[in-house]
Amino acid sequence: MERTLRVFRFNPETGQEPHYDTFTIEVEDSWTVLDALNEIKWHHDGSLSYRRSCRHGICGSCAMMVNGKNEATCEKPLSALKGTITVEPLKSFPVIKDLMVDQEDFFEKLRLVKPWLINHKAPPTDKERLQSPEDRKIIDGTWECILCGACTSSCPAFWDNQGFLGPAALLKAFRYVGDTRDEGLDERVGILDSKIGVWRCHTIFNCVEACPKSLNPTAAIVKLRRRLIQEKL
Amino acid sequence: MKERGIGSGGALAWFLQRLTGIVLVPILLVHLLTMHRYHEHGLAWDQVTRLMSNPYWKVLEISFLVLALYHGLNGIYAIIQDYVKVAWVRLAIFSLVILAGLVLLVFGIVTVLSIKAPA
Repeated sequence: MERTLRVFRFNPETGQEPHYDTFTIEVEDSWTVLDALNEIKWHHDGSLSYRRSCRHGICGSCAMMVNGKNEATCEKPLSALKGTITVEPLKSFPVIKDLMVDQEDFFEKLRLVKPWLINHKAPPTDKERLQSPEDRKIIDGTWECILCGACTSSCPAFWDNQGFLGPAALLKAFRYVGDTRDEGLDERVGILDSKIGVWRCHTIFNCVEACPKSLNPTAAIVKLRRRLIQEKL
Repeated sequence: MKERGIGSGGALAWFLQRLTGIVLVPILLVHLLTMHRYHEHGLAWDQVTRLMSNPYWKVLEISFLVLALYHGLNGIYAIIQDYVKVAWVRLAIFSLVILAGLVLLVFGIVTVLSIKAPA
């Protein structure tokens, strides 16, 4: 079966304007968008640049915009898309080359929320830091984030104010703030309650629609707000 | 990563925006139903001033004024924080918002307080 892909191209070294290249390739029924990109790179145009690694929806490398919607391309089957498939880099991040974007700022913001367990007590020597199944449930829907950037790239609040931490960093923040074993809220309040923190979200829900893992960053942000209000007032 | 204003917050402003929003709903309904229910025959000066001369109504209308001004101007300030990136422009608009708020507040309170029942 033949499919046609319209792929965004940009190479800052050639000075050529960004444009689209169209490739019509032979594909198999079971292929994903990433498989089609691999086919193009390996057999049609080796200069095409994009990120991919695990091919199993875990590493978060291959998020791109497919037919106007952010997707983990390794999880998006070609069979779910009709007609010509347009593949573009994630919006609002600077394009390095073709489908590859600069996510340095994205990860810098993640580091700002301290995405690790903060607990000042010494860990038990005979077992891990355990918690009850009920407590564990609180952080369901947050730990699954693969940091692909699809949500932050789809966020209108981020488009207009790129200082905003964005849904991905805030979802990860709740992963730890919501963890009953974590004692780090004091250390995170400064950034979460800042001008670039949770108050910049306007519950537009684009992030929920964009997430390839079907997570709900907006809900996490609302829970963070509740915690901050309880903490501050 | 500069210009990351940490610590200036927004928790109180966000909370008060929700609180004033909730309180404004019944006040707005009462205000609209009482002040504008005479629409069929046009607003009558006598009827409105008679109502507004009641001290309880004055309290209600001044609460309405204060809450609506805060809610509306705080909303504008939130929009400024989203869209205006240049610090001095932001400060200038913020100052204008505060100034407009104060002027409208004084005018509004003076108006409500000075209404007397028709003779």
